[in-house]
Amino acid sequence: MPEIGLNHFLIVSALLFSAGIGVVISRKNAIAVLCGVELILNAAALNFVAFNRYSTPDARLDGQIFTIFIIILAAAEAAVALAILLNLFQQTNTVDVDEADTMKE
Amino acid sequence: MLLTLAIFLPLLGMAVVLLLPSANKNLIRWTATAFAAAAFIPIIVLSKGYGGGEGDSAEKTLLAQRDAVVAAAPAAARETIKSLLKEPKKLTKQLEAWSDHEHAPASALSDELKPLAQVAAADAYPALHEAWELTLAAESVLAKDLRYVEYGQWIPAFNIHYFLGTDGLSMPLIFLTGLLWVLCFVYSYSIEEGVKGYFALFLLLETGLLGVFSALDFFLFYVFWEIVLLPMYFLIGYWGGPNRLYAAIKFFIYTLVGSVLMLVAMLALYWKDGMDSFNLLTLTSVSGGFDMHFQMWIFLALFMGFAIKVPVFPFHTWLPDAHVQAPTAVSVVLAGVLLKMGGYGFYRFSYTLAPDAGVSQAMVLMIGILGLINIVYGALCAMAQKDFKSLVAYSSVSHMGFVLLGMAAMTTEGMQGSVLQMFNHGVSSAMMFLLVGVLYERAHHRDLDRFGGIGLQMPYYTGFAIIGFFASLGLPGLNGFISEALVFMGSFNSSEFFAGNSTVYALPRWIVYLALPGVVFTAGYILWTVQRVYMGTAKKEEYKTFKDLNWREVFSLTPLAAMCIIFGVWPALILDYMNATLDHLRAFVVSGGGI
Amino acid sequence: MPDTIKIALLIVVLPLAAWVLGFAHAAFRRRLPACQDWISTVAVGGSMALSLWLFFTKVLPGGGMAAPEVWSCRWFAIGSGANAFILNFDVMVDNLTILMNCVVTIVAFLVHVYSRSYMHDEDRYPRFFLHLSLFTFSMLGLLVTSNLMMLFIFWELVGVCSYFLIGFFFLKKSAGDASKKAFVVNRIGDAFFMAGIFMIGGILSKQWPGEGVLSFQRIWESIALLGQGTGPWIGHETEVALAGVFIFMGCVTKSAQFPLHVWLPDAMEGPTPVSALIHAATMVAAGVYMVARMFPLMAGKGYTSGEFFDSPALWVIAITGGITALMSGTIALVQSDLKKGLAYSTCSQLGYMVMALGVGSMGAGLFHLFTHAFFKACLFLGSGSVIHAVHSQEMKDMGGLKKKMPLTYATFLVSCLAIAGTPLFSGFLSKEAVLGQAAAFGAHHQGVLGWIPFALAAATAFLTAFYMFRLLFLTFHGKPGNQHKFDHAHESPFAMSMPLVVLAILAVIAGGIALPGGLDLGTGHWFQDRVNDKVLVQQAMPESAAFKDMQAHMVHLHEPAHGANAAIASFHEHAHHVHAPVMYMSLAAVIIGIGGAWLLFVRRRHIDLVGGIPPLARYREVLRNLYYVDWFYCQRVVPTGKDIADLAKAFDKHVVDAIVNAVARGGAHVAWFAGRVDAIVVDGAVNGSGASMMALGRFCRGFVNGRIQDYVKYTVWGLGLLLIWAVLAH
Repeated sequence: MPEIGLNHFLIVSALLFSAGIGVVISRKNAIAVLCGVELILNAAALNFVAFNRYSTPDARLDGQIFTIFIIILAAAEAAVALAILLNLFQQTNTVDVDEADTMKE
Repeated sequence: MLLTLAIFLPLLGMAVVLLLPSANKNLIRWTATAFAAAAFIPIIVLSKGYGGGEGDSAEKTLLAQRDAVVAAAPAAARETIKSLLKEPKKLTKQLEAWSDHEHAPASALSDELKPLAQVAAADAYPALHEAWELTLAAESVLAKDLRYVEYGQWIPAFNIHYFLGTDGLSMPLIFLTGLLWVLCFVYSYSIEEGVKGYFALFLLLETGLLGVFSALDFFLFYVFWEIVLLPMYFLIGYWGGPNRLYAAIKFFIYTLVGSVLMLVAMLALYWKDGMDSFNLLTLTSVSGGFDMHFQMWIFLALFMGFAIKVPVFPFHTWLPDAHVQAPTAVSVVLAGVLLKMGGYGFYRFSYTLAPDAGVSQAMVLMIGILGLINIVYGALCAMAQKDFKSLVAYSSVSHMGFVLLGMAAMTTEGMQGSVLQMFNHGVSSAMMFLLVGVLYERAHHRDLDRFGGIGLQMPYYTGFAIIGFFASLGLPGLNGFISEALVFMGSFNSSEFFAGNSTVYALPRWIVYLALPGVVFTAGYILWTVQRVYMGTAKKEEYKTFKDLNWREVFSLTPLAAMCIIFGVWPALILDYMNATLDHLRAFVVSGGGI
Repeated sequence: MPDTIKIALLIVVLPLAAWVLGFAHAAFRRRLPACQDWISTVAVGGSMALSLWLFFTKVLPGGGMAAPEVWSCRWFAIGSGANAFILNFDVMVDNLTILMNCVVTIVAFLVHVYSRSYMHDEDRYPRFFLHLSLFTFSMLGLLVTSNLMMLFIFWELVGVCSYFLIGFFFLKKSAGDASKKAFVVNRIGDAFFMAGIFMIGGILSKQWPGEGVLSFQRIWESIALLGQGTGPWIGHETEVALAGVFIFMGCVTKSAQFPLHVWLPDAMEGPTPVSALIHAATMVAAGVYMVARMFPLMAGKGYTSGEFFDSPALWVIAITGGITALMSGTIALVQSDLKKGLAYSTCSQLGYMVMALGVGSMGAGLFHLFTHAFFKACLFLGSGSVIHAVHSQEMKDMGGLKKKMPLTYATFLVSCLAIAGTPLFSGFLSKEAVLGQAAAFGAHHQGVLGWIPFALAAATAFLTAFYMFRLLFLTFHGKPGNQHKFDHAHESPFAMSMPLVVLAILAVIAGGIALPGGLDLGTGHWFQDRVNDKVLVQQAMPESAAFKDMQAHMVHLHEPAHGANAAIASFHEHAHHVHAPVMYMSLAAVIIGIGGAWLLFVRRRHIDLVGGIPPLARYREVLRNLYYVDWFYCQRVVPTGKDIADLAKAFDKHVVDAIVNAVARGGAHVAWFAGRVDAIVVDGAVNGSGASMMALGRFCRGFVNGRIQDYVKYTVWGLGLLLIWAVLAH
């Protein structure tokens, strides 16, 4: 069995990132879009951890710290996004992202 | 100063008239007449002065100008310029070579061009060029007789100068212009509509014409030539008869086509051999050296421009329309002076700038035959006309044929006869149009078949009419005879004088023999007209109510009638005036440009 | 300036002054002075007095003026050096000038006096005298000038005065037509005349460059040089004859020769005094005078040697004159209008004069001119008297007037006798001179051709007597044709009869009778002694060597000149031999002519003689129609001319102008096409670029749909492309 290296982690995180992008671009439901966003954030976090493990010298834990920041910020951001969604739902009675196109004006 | 004053006073008058209130017609009329008279005064002074040999001669003025230019040149180059000017002909060649090698580095230049390079380096090239122009100009044949010369810079970048002068060729025409304007203005008091515009345009026309006859810079000449077109267009197109728009536009475009060709010739001369000069005198002094091919093209291009104005068959068809549709005073100046622009242009420009071409076989035959056609065909067409004015228009075509015939002959009698014919025709034709106008104003038609018995009703008018018509017919004792006889004599003699001459082609005699019947046809239509209109009993009752001439009409007709008689009885008055100029010009042309 | 010249110029200028006065008055006051008739008459009277004074002091005594007085003054000069053209007022006064002046002024004065009564009731009476003054001035000017160009100028002036005077009654269309016809026909001749003058001027100026070359003296000198084999005409011999013929064409119209005589009969539309003055005595004589002056040129090469009888120009002149004489004579036979009859008679007599010049005698032709002026003027004025009395010009209305108008009858009779050539009257001497010369010419040539001029002249002599007396008898003898008119007829007032008497007297004595002072009796040589080549030409050219040896060939001398060559001697021989037969023949002509007329017109009052003889009746129509010459001109030539003129006008309008208009229309079409190109192609490009920009904009706008997911999509695409590029670029 080959050694698990940095590349494996990067490929996994790339796959996760692409999946996240695909979800963000293509899902109709706003909540699903938020799920996609979570995937993107977590892919980034995974990158941090992987680099910490393989590229940073020992006794430093910068990447791990970054990951914890990302998790916290993701949670906060999800909360804010949901709040916006709730407001949007109260205005338009739908969570369909295609309906929210007033930004085109 | 006098020439400038004469030319631009009418322009000033136009500005003043435009500022006057339109309602006060009389004020406008009098102001306009005052300006025309004011312009006539310097002209009279000029005429007297020229006859008395006064006025700055061209040679003197040009040389003085040349010295001033040299003195004003940058000091570094002054000596070089002076030494270069000592041999103007050589300098011409040098300038030609320079124009090809202007931008070459100094080392690549031949010895000849080194002084020029030095001059250019000192920024004195424009001064050199102008001084060269002036030197050559002072040597040209025209400089001997031109007087009252005025010279100044106008557009230095293109060597265009404000260059005026008058000699025996143009002075009578200038005089005629000044006189006719005063007479026409007084006659035009009967115009009631658009008085302001009418007089303003007429004044502008005078400026243009006086400028045409005095300009000696080709570009300036062209500008004045074009200035003449516009007022004519409006004068015919607004104050004319029923078909005026067609006539006006025909006149305008026809003349413009000709003048475009003249422009081409002008530019060709400018760019010829790197001379870069519009100065007529300069070009004249080198024109003898142009190769024949070039001279032919120049002559033909200029011929087109002037021939349309003369008018020469077959470019004459604008004339009957323009004359018939134009108001009387406009017809008078059209026949009296505008047609002479063509003849004047021939003598002043064509023959000086392309002398060898002018006397070559092709051109002599062409002009001679066209002159013959003009005389005979014009007379025949006149005979067939039903409209009085149209008849007089065709008689103008016929008379201008004499100008061409004499020009083709290039003998003393022929040439001076043709120039005299221009002047005489201006007088008698102007008078005839005034006479027709008098009748038209009373009868409101010009149909020859409906007239009759006018002599009984208006004897005073008939007296003038007899003078005018017989002058046109060429009766001895009136001015038309002398010029016609001289033209015929000269054309006859051409084959004697120029037999065996290699430069000048003699006009063949058969052309003159064929032109002689024109005299008979002329007598035919004029007498027939006199009989139809003035003799017999009144055809219509209303003719019996016609009043004889009023003071305005008498004022316009009398000077012309007097001139018809005076110049018929004592032609030396005007022939002596023109003699020196025309003699020198003729000698120049028949010697092939003096080279 | 010699005194004679001063007087001559004064003679010329007096009538001009009268004209100028009238003209100036009309110019300023818009009408002529009422006393214009007095002014003109006094002026002409003054001229007449001076002319007569010159005649009696210069011409009569001692064989006339030995040499002419000359003077010249420059009129204008153009050019310079050898190319100059100079025209001078050349004035020359010699015997001929003074004699012609006398003729013109006497006849003019008498006509003026006559007209004061004859024209008194006419409208525009002062204008008549104004024109008469101008005419008199022009005619006198013509006579004193010795420059061919100046002569031509006065020639035309005389023509225009004739125009005004013929058309005096311009309210009538026929008068207007007649005057127009006269002028235009004269113009034709003048065109030829001018051609001749120019030809001469051109050739002569080669010889004498830079000088005035159209004076008579120069022309004569050039002919003399030709005779010697030098001079400007060498190499141009045909041009000598051609110039001569061209100049003669001027005479053909002015003196009403065939075929350009057609204007003269129509000229009778003018008032009768005008006919008398202009168309009988003076203007028509100008042509003959001019040919006489130009005789050396006509004679050509052989002039100084006297052997010119074969000159082509002179042949043309002789034949033309002869034909005219006979033809007009025959036409005069059938005229029923008195004035027209006299007009054709004038035509015929002019033919006589011209023929005389053509057969080589300057003197004979001029002598006939001199005598003819007086009796013809008398005839015309007499006819005017009759017409005034009867108020009609047709002879049908006349007849038997000799009882009513005895004075007119007497003077008419005298003049008729003179014109017929009765001995003791002036006409006899002049006619005899003409016939004698023609006969000598025929004898000299000795062939049929040479006798043609004489034959024509002799026939005419018979005819002249015949038709003139026909006129006399029909008018004055027999029974009145119109009783009413006859009753009202009366003799004319003194003002009209006095001129008749004077002229009748002159008709008798002008030929020469015994008068104290040395005139010859009955031989007429007094005139020819003073008017011949020797006196007029040779003595005018004292410096010219060629003229010193000139051979005179005068008919009336019974001996040839000293040292004459063989041709001249033989000519004189012939002249001598024919002299008597000719005289008898002319006597016979008179007797037969008068007798025949008496028989036919008094005894048997056949007005219509020719119609009475059937074979000749056909010819009567020909004569009535004037040999169809006039018909040819009026019905064929003039309409053709008008058709050509109309053709020219149509050509001008429908061809030349059509081309111009077509060019203009073509230009308009080209312009329309250019406009379409401009609108569709050029402007299309401009608009197209604008439209494509707009489309692009609309397309891009579609991207901004406000959907965030799409925005993310675009971002990712962009990033992806950037990454690919970054990877590939390295």
